[in-house]
Amino acid sequence: MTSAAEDFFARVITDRLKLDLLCYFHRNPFTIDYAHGTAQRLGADVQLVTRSLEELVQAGVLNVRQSQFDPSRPAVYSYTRNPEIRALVEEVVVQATTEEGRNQLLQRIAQK
Amino acid sequence: MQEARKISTGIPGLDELLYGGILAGDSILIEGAPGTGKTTFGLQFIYAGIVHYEEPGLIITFEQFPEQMYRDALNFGWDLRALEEQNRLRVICTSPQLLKEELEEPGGMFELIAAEIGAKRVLVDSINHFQRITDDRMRLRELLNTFLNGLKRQRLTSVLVKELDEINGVSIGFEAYMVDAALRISYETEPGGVRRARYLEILKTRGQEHRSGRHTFQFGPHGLEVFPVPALPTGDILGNPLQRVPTGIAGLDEMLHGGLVGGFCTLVAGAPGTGKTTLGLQYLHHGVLNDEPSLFVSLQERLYKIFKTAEGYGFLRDLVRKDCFRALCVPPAATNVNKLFADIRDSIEQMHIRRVVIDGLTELKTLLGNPNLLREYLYSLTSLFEQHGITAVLTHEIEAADTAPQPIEPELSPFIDTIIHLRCLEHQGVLKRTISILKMRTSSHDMHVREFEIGSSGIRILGQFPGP
Repeated sequence: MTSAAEDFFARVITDRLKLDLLCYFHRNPFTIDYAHGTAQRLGADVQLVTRSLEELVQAGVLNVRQSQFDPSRPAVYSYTRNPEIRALVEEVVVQATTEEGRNQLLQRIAQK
Repeated sequence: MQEARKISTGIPGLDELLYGGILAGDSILIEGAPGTGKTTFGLQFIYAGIVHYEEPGLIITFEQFPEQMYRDALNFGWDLRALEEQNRLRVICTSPQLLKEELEEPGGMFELIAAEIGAKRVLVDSINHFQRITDDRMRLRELLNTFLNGLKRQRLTSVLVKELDEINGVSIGFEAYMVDAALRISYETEPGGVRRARYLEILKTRGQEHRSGRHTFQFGPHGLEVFPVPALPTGDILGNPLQRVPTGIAGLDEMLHGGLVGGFCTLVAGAPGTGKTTLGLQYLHHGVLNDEPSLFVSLQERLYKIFKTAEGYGFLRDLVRKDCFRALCVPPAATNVNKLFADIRDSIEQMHIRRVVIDGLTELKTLLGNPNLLREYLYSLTSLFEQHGITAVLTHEIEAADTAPQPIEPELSPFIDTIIHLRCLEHQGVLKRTISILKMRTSSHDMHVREFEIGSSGIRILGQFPGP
């Protein structure tokens, strides 16, 4: 990974779930879903997924949208269109594609 | 009033069943059990729309991950990622609840995405997931109605995938009533019970005609291809009916009082080894020598065996040298009878075929299983030959018998105009090959049983068989 991608990884990917979300949105780039639906896809806890999605929104990886007509509806998440951020994500996802690369990333997360 | 525009489904053979395609803006339900090919059907509809008809598309998946679709589509050479990069496709992974709400909301995300790429087609896989919103049947129906109207408002032609709960059940879901066209696909045991085949049936089309029947389809290297149940040809009869067509076997032409009757269908019946295939090849060889395009269809032998036989009689050189001979060799284990019909029809149209030999009817009977299907198939086949002025020969294997048996079932007799019977009979301790003509429509013929021999250049008719 480039140093920019290393920095991005160190700053944004603080747990395994975020790494899974990052890979999921990058590999399925036109995903548009609620936290509940995303959690179902990943087989993860909804509350944990919601928190991670929000943190990825803060980091600029995901976009979030709230209905203008019905504020009671849950937030909708989608992958950023920003090419610079996508390029950084791409580097992380490429490394996570092999078992060895993914294990290395998980080790680094564990050391945080 | 302007006539509604039809668009191609992009699935070879299906547009023929829909008399040109589906009406633009319509919704098509495709239902079937797991593994029948529903998603592939939808992907092909989208891919072909983009690549061949400049109609960008949306794929909405509620369950399968887009990355799985990218991978599966690549097996057919469909690069969905590349189309996304070109802004001609979006594969959207979402929840049914969100899709419903966004479609209802003016300026919702799906409307924006559809507008962004100018989408004309959409695949929804699958609508069963709307049950995640409610399991109340009335509410579900109302919800689907709103959803379909949302798609229509955006002028999208849609394919909606539905998983069937029952494989052999007859239940009809309410969805079929709400969409414009409903198709059912299945993967079932063929007649005979050995292999499985894929079938497609059009249950309904709104505002347009369709051809009924259980049509077969196959997965090829480039996707699905539907092979319609043979239909009766339309159009004028070509050629010069009733003109005599020489077989190339001088003695046989004399027995037939000039040759086979043009545009008619002849059955050559006999036990194994009596010379049916040889007679057929000799008939086509004579046609090829006279520049008459000829087609040999083998349902029992492989191509090299046919060529080996033809080589043995010195026919092969002429057959290969002249550009008017084609052999279709389809072993029974790999035969899709509707595809076979399509291949025969294509050959006839491409090469302007004048002579056809089908070797043989026995295998066709086994493949079709049901006598009614065989009758319909033969009717379509002989009508096709008649329309194109083709003089056809069908071989038929029957049991060896000393007396002239009924070589064909009475219900198939109307399709056969001439019957030639080949036998091996014993005469003073020696087996003799004999030939006789049992039936010849519109013409007199030799009523004698004659001997024949198969020599190095094929069949040669000898004198009258003296009897046992």
